[in-house]
Amino acid sequence: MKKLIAVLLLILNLTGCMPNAKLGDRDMVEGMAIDKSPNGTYKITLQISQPEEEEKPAQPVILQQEGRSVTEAMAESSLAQGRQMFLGNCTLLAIGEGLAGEDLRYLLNFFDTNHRVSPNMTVLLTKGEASELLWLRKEIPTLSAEHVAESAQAGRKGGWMGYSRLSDLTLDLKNQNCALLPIVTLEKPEEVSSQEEGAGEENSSQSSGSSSQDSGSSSQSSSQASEEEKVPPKLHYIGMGILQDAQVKAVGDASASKGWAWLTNSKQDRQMHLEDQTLGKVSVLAYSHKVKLIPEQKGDLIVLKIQLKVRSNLVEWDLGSGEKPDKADLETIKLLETRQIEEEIGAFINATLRKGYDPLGVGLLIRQKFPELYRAWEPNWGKNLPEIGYDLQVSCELDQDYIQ
Amino acid sequence: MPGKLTLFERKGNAVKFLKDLKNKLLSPTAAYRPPQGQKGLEEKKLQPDLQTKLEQIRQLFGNSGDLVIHELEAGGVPCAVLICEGAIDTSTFSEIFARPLTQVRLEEQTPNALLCWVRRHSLMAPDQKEFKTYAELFRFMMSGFVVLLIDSVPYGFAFGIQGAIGRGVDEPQGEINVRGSREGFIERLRPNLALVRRRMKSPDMVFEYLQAGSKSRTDVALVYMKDRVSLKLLNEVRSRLEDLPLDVVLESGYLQPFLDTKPLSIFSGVGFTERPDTLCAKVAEGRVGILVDGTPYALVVPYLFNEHFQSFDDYAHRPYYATFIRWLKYAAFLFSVLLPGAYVGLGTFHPELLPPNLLLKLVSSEEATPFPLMFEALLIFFIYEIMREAGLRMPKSVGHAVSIVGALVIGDAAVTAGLVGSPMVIIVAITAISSFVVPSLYEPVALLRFAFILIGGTLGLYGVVLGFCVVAANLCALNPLGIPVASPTGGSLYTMRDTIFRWGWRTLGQEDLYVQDLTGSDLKEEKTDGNQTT
Amino acid sequence: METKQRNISGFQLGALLFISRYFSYMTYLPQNRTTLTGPTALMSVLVAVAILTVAFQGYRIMCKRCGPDLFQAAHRVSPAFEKLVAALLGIYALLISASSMAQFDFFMSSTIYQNIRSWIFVIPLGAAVAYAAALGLESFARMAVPAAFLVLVTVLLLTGALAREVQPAYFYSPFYDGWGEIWEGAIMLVAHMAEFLPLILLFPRTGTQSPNKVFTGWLGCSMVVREWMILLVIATLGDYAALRDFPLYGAASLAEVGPFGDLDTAHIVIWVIVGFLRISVYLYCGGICLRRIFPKGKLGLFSSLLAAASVGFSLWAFAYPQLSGGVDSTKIAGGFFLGGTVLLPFIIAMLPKARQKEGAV
Repeated sequence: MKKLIAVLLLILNLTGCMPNAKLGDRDMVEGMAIDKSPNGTYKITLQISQPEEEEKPAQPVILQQEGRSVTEAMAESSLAQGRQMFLGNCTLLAIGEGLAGEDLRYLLNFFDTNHRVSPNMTVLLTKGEASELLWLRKEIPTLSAEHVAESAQAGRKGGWMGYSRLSDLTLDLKNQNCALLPIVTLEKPEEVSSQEEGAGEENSSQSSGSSSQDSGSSSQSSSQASEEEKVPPKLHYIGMGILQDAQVKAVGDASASKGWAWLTNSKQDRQMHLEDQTLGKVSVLAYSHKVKLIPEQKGDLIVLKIQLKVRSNLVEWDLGSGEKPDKADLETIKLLETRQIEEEIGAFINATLRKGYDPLGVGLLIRQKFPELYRAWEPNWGKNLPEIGYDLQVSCELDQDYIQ
Repeated sequence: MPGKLTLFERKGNAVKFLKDLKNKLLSPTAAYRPPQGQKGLEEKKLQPDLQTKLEQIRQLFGNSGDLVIHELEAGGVPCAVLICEGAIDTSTFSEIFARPLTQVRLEEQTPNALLCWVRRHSLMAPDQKEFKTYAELFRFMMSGFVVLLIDSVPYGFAFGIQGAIGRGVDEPQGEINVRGSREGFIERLRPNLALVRRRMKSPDMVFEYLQAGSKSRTDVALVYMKDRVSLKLLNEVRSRLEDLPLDVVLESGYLQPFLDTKPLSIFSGVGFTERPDTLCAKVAEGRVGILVDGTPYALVVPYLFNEHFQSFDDYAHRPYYATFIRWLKYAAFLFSVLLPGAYVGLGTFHPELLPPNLLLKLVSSEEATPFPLMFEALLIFFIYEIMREAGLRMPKSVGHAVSIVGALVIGDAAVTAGLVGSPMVIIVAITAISSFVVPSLYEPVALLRFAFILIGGTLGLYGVVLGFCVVAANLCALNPLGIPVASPTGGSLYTMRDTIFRWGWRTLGQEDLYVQDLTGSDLKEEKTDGNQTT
Repeated sequence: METKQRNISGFQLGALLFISRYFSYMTYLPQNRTTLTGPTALMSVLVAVAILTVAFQGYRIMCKRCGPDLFQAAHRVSPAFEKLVAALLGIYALLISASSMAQFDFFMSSTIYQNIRSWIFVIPLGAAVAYAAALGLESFARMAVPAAFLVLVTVLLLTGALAREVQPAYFYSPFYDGWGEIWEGAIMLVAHMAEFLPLILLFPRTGTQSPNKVFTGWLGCSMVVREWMILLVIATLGDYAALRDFPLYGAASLAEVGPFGDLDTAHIVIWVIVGFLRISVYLYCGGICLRRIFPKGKLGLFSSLLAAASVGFSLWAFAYPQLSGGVDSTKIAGGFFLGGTVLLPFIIAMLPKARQKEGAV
């Protein structure tokens, strides 16, 4: 017992030796945007969540600081606010266009070494300034960084893109030296009219990408009683950035991004609008898909067999005749679906693999199956990769139960 | 140089000085004894002459007003009846003692004839004892026996006609069961023994009488089953009780430290119970029970750590429910010890480990409070302990006032004023309720809780876990009387059949558990012999 | 403090050794080269098991001929020889406890409590393990059983939570880097198999004559769990596992268990418990070696001194990592392993003087 008391007294002497901050002395960073400032320094924008008070919605705080490194900028922010910046709750990291073309290793090291940062933080590339994404909350208070991150999750589930977490980025860069990140942009009101002529898919993509905005819009209509009715900016997923050596080397369009989603075995509910002059218009929901990537050696060539099985539900149809689709119609629908999927996957392959970028880890698959061949190819992997052939086998099945 | 000490001598003086200082500070001073203290009462034997005996008794007893001496002739032989006023049952005394004694007809009116009659031809009380010393005389008399002294006989006789002073058998307040007996021990030893005997109708159940306290001469009974108990254990318990250095023993808790191997350890290897059924169950596993006159709390030696989480109810319920309740108790114990420290540690050093929504709520509530979490926790638990202690000691009539003060001051006013955060109050509430799920561990839990708050506030989660490891090591090292307290922590599920789980009776009944047979027991190789008691 | 030497069960000893082995996998640091990770390691582990089984035969033969107590057998040769043996094994024990403490310190200060001075962890840890070692073998051996169970539960939780993060593409042939790498990995693993030391020193306290069951049970369980963890880490982190400090912690950070968030809290808790037990074991082993050299000394004093030395080493290691890394190198660790726990029992078994007389206990 005496020893126990002695140990306790010893521990008491350690009070104050461990630096810590009261909970109330920390600022909870919800989202972070990093840009390159004109003078070459890092410009970080922090969206800080505020605790809600009774009968008052939380007022967002947006902080902007510059520094020669992210660490310096964060330190400046702490100084400016008089509080410690706490990144444990940070759900969003947006990287601006200006920074994307540079080596992001320096930036990623900051997050890799900071154990407080969650590896599940969403990372996005933004067209233009990433800070605009966070400043948007000033106009639409409900559009917090968390909402943007959730929108990215919704986009992934909706089949617009694959995983975009910090852990995926880090692992992909370390393992196959190539990673993908979704590119998001803010569509300002004057840009809306010029984009109205865009493909139907792009319009429909807005419905998923701006789902949070719809809620944001509805809250805006109730909260903003301004004399002029402002159309708020909308969040728009326009494609994917292809990173190699931690630099954005190329960009894939929205179609390629959807192809990316097909080639990852993540649960998604992908809505597809199919239209044909003979058939009419139909809408299907692909609720389950399974993809297998199997490298095969055919002589001197490596062919990557991509087997994709998709199960869908027919959700809406307008066949002109007003009747339900029959068997022949269903076959046509499946064909249209297959064709669209193949186009999207093809767009992905053309944007990435054919250009020597390997975000899928094809090299790892070849190493798994043909280790000697991989050893021979590894030194010139970037040149050898486009030589690979692709055998795409897509099979679509429609649930027809309710039609019976 | 003459007169000047060498370095060696100076060093020797310094060492001597430090030793003297240590002795002065740490060693007890010579005990004070009042000059009129009496020694050697134990050895004084009764003299044959009646008047000499009575004179000696009056001298020894002094001016105490409860001594009643009746001198009479029984069968023509001078004798004396001694009682302590108020200690006997007067109606029974008249009926079964006084009348036969006063109406005895002896063939020869000699002391030997009366002695023979008392020994062989009378049954004036079911409990009749013979004694030789003054110490025993006083012990019996003060225990409510009627003492008979016969002229020219160097013995005395005690007749058990005690009055029923004290409360009746009632449900024990500290160990309430939903399903089980409602009888609990009372303050008197013999009714307690009867409660035990009624449940274990076996001649192997032995009650061995001892005395504790050189002045109080408190009756103590060792309760054990001679065909199951470890003789080493029994002998050890017996010798420790016989060597007790106390003058006065008023409660079983006085004996507890002398039975524990490490009396200053956080956990004790000696348990207690108020229930006769629980005592019987423990004794049937080879343990030794100790009943002390004057207290309803019986001691059980040795007491394993997992027994704190067992209750009599467990064995009456279905196994799956009993197992669930066990886990609940283990969880409650861990909550009561670790929750405040873990909360303080996580909030201070590891907020990233808390879910974001919870963290925001904590931040908003802690923003207004002026104190760090550790201080808040220490303050509020200290106030809670004050209130709990006040609730125990105060008269029932002011109980409501304390409840209101506690609820309003701590629960409402302190939070509203911003002195403490509301999450902290919730933590206190959960911890407090959890600590009463295992009431027998309240003492160590209360202390450990404070320790873990300190540790969590200074070293975070690392400190809390390390502290827990130290406490666990301390517990695992405890071996009261040769049996490890942390048993059983064996490798097979079967050895854990009554610790983490409560298996069904069909399994439990297959094999009797003996404490001396547990893994790590020092008493394992010993074979018990039912006939030996030493 | 330990007032009487008590026996433990073979199962408790096995659990203790299992925990100690688990610590070594948790503390993987690529720059230290104490073991490999990646698919090559899967084969290395199997090869290491075979080598260890052979290496164990020395002690097994010694048990048959001279009894399980190494010190008693050495004493029969000569008291001076016993002291020499005790000194050698005591240094080995100190080396392991010191390097374990240094690794533990590094994990805490690099991952959990960044930017905090290392002595703040190391000193309380030193005090705690010295106390546990002074309490005696039974205290931490008994703790090892529930701790081992907790480790297994965490492994299961981790497996379940990481199931969706598994990337089959990360696997490749364990022979990809050739047999050379496999042998190198196996040698590294064997050289750092410090658990042979507590097995040899503490087995006599189980009261059984043959160590086969304990050895087989411990090695089997440890290696199965190790293989499983290597598989899991490869499947979730891929090649990054070989480059990253504490890959198991990295995998635990990815694992999400519903509303409870990720498993790194559980990992930290397990880490502290495992580290505490491992260092206690080696301090205790060092203490009993010192008691053989200085019979009148108290175990509490010896364990405190050894703990203080370990703390000192840990702080020095933190300040001079390049120098200290060499202390735990394969050569030095391997030298002690080979000399102290493989050859020494074998040599003693061959000495006629060391043999147990017929009927002696």
